[in-house]
Amino acid sequence: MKKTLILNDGSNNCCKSINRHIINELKESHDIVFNKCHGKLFHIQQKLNPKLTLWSASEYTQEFHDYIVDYHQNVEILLIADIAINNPQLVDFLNQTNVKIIQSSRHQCGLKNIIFQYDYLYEDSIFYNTNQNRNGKIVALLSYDNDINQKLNEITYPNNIDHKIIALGNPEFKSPINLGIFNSPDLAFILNRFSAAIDLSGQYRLECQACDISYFQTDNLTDSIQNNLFVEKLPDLQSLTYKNFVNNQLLPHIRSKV
Amino acid sequence: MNIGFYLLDISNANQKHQQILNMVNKLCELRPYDNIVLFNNQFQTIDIDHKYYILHISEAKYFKGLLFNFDIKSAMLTKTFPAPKKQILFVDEPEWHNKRDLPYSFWYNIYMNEDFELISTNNDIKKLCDICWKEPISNIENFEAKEVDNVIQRLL
Repeated sequence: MKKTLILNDGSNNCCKSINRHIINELKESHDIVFNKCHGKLFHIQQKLNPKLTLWSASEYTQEFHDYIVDYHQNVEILLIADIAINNPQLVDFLNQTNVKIIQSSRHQCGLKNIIFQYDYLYEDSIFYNTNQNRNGKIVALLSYDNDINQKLNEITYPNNIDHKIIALGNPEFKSPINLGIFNSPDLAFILNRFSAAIDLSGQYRLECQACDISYFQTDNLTDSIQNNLFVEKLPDLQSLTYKNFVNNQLLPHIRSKV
Repeated sequence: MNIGFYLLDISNANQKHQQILNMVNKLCELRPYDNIVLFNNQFQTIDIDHKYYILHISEAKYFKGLLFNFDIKSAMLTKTFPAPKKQILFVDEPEWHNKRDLPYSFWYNIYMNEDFELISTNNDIKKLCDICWKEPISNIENFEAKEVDNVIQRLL
């Protein structure tokens, strides 16, 4: 008889990618409940008696909290700490349960039951070099912090027209070269058509390297642009994919439990 | 030669619309043997001296010729029309700047559409289009009929 897993659909790319690869690998051997499980979690538990539940901290609710209280001793509960958990009482609570933590190394928050850590990862099924003709222009990927984005003004239109630079990713940045927002498929398309990227948040380095686009240093943008100062490439990009993380770390653990 | 102008919500109070209609009339004088058509949805406000044909906007998708647009709303409606040989979009302001919360792909599908050519209405817009999208095929200030005629000659 197949065993049942609950995978809660998250709202960010990390959760979606991890869920996707788990489903790809376990869809034949397990029954998988994959959904937005808010409001249905206890019903699913009582009806299908799953042995493992994967949830993300960005989707943490009172319902899930109560679920942990009731089932943490009978069900293998994995929590992806994809955001910082700043509530000390919640950290204490989680440390007293059997909930296993999959921790983003960017959000250290004092959790103890960490079974895996991950840093920046990327989705290699979306981000790869499609060998398109590049347009000779530079794309600036804006930061969520609009103060950081302001340093772009000195190297872009109308202050500087030596380079064709456009910006994307934060509507708060007021500039005529700001061309809107993007999702992951958009970004892959963009990184395959522009010739170089300025990543003001520093979170798209892997995606840029996967698409083989030159990646500017951002310490001194004017200097970087004028002298073509690029960041060195990471040596083992293929090991930094969600697929690799799920297949080599997460799945062996899941298989040992269910 | 078929030359169409797609102009939504024509208003007598809109100076830009009046300039465009004057330009189309002058173009009729410059190109008397061409079929010059205005596609619009506001028949009651059209100038009485017009020398061009008038059709409803719904007919534009069957129009085999050059189709001129003057704003992004029109371009959104016409970008999937199969019949026009080429579409030409006048860019007089960076509309993407006013709606920065829209996806890049929305603007890309219009400004970088292979069936579209851009015409800027001043040098700043020309530079900006070149940086952000593609180089306009011409820079025409005040909708000069002679300049539009030159563009048509180049596109034939």
